Amino acid sequence: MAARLTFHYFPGNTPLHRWDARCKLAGMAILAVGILHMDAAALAAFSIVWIAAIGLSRIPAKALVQDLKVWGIFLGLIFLIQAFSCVTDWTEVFSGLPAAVRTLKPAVLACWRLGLILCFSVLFTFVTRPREVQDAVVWFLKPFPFLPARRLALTISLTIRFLPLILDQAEEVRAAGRSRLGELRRNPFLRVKYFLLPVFRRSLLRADELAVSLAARGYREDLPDDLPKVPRRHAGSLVVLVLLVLLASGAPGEVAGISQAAVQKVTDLLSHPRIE
Amino acid sequence: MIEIRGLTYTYPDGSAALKDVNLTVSDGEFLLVCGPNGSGKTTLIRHLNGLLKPESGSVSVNGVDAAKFPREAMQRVGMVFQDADSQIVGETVREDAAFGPQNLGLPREEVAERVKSALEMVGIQHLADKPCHMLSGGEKRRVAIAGVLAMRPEIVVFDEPFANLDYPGVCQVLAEIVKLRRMGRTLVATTHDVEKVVALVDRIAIMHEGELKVVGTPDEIVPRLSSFHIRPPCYSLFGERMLPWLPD
Repeated sequence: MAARLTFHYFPGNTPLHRWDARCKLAGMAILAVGILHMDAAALAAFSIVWIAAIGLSRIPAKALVQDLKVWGIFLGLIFLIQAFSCVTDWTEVFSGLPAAVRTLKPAVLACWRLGLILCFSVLFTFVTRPREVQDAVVWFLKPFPFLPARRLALTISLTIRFLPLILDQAEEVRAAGRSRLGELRRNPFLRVKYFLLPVFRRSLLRADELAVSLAARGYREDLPDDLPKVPRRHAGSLVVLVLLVLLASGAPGEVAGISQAAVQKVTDLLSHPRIE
Repeated sequence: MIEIRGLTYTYPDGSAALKDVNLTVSDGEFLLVCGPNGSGKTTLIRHLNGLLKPESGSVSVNGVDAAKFPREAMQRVGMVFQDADSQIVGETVREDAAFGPQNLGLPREEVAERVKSALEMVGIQHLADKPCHMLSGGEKRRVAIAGVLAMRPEIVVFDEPFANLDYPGVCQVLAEIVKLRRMGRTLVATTHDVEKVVALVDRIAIMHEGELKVVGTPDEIVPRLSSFHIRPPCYSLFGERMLPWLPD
């Protein structure tokens, strides 16, 4: 039994589990891009959406939060890098809370965006079977004649499938290291060495075994795609999600702004004396 | 002595892994914990050295609460993991065996002495400078045992010690267990393959769906194994006397 939930598929029969994987994949891609353009209010709204979605998909939220805590270290690191790159005058940061919030806002927003994308990705893997992801990727890539759709799809689905296994393996190595009091090591490089080497070795061995087992089971890339059409109701849900993301990320305004700038540019060019 | 009282643990997905387990292991005893896959054996033994914290109940190792003082518990309870590749962190056998003693902050000379003694104990001193990834399955398992013994624990716990081993590999690991047994160490092993160790153990505990069903001597427990989905040893099926699996 895995000690973690992150990036594992969690079986269920909720609306999110039943939603067509192609819609989920497209929705996830649009959501990820949209979140990168959202302001604080929109991020707050979509954070609430995520919490509601976790409730809807009936995932043990307490264990999930426990899992996600580890990612806090990663986000904290990004916050520090962002803070050091965007703050020019550090005296402002220490001159009071409002000034600190104003100065550090870009760093906070960057972390929030990445954290929210991570949260939605975890939710996506919770409610979508790797096999469904593979079929969805094949379906999306099939219209492109020179792309090896099935191979790419298999690569993506195996990555999603193996990420939790590698994390579980890492957890096992960490437990074995802890059993021999490895956490008492002060030298961080040695700690990293004693942790990463076994994890990498095991992961590479596993990858080799997987390649051989795929070949042994007659893996081929020319199988026909027999996915049914996307149900209208599922596509409708995707449209609603896309509209919400566009609205929250201020895309209509941006689109309008870009159009206005383009019109202005063309007008400038036409009125330029070198163009007749 | 290990004292487990009312131990309960739930997996992150909400399923119960251990339900109110009560068990005592005396000093110098060899206890076999057996049960089918997913019965909670590994989860149980990971509480013995504080790797897992009980949801309720307690685990005490020679008077030390394993959940409150995991470092002390880890020093007292050496654990040999099921997958030796997860446990072996050193590039060479010597480096790996030194990992635990170095973590204890021992002087260089003592680390070297403990490593030498542990490698000799499991009979792999000739492999000391060999890269670990070039060893056979049985040799890797012995390296894992040496790595644990070098920390001089009072209790040694084996998680599925014979998994994925061929006949020579099983013999090598069994020989180490016999040695430790003769030295009077307290031993705990988990397996669903009872045949190999049944002649060595003092008591057998059966886990089933997270519950400790029965504990008793091999003579009491072996006839009941099949009712818990565990294959009984051949000798009991043929009505013969108990035979050690390890050849003389």
